[in-house]
Amino acid sequence: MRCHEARNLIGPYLDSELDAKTSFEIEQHLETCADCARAFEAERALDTRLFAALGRGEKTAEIWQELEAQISSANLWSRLKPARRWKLALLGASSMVSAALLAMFILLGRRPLDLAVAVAKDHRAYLAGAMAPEFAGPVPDELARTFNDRLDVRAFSTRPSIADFRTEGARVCHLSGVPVAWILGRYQGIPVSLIVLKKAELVHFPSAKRRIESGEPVICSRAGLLQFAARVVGDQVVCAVAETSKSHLEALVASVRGPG
Amino acid sequence: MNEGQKPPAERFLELLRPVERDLEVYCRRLFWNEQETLDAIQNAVLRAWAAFDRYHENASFRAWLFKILTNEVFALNRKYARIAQSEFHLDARQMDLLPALEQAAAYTDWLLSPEALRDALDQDLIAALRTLTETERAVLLMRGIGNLRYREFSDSLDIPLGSVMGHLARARRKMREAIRSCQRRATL
Repeated sequence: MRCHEARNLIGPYLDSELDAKTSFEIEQHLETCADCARAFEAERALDTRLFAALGRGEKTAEIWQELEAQISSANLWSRLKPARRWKLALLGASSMVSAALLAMFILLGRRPLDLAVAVAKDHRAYLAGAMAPEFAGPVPDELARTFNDRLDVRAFSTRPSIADFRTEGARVCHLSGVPVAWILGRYQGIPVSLIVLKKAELVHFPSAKRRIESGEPVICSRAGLLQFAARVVGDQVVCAVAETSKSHLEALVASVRGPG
Repeated sequence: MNEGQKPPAERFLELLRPVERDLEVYCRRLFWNEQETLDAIQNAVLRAWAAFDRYHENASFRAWLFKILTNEVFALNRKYARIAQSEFHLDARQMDLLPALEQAAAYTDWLLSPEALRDALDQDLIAALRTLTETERAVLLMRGIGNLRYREFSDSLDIPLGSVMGHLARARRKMREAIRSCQRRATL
């Protein structure tokens, strides 16, 4: 094998994608050609360094817990679905329904709401300094023209009336493709994100929609270390997320009066 | 359900758990917008779960999920027209002018220097990833993070095996050149 033939095959050779015969020919060539041996070794070193760096990182536990819970609950349902379910119904339909409702209540109580998980992700970016306000004061006209009725400009004027809340600015974000007004601020010195979206957009967040429609005045959830609270103000949903207590955040959201 | 056969959800989760970390890291690197990673992963995994009855036990579950996730990310990229925003392609003429690296002794010296490689910071690697096209980035990450085989790249991206090798070779070439440029800037 010649040098240029061997070097054309560096990638597949390092990836163990060559057949045994070609690999053997390359190895024979490398034993006799110091330049090629050096080039191959250099490429191997780069691959090792590159793949180690690209592959670094941990999974986000909340995302996977949420997904596993969704899939497991589907499993529970499928196990209840078979034809012999009627036998169980005979054993006490009413007690089963009560137990199922209780189980759902417990499960829903423990599992973070879809909206809370989505909001928490961006709030973490804010905490990490990866997300900053884009403007302070009125929404720039150029930006407002991009809303296409999916977001109300007045959403950006939403503020809690509670003392000790200071606004740092605002920006537009997209949660599951839904445009939201994102107001970045601090409450008693703690970074808080205030998120406002149209109530109609709740269809993209079924578990939050269910809770809100159940009539709770303020819905709360946890996403990891973050506390989440939300309530309906007019035709908007106002959410807050922060690393603080449930009662603090609940009070903050309850104090929102909405745009005048 | 046969005696001893696990329920589908249990089986699915059993196969999913060992792949979760790699899928998320792959998605973060491929997507280029961390804030969308959550959506892409959720969509892809739920899509895979919905199609699990069509998954063949003797196929690679890892490759199957990487394929679904890649398609999801590509679709979202198209949807939000992010490709144009997040990629700046190297000019073809500029690529031709790149030195014949394999033959450059100085280059292999640099690559073999542990200090130089250690100094190529993660940010440099991330910046270098930006120089790749979407397909080049996908094949490089499928190889480096997914540890998939070429025929699995080919199936995932629906491109011929020969093109896979071409994309991967170009991806490696651009990465090493970009990293070297970062390194040169750092030493100035």
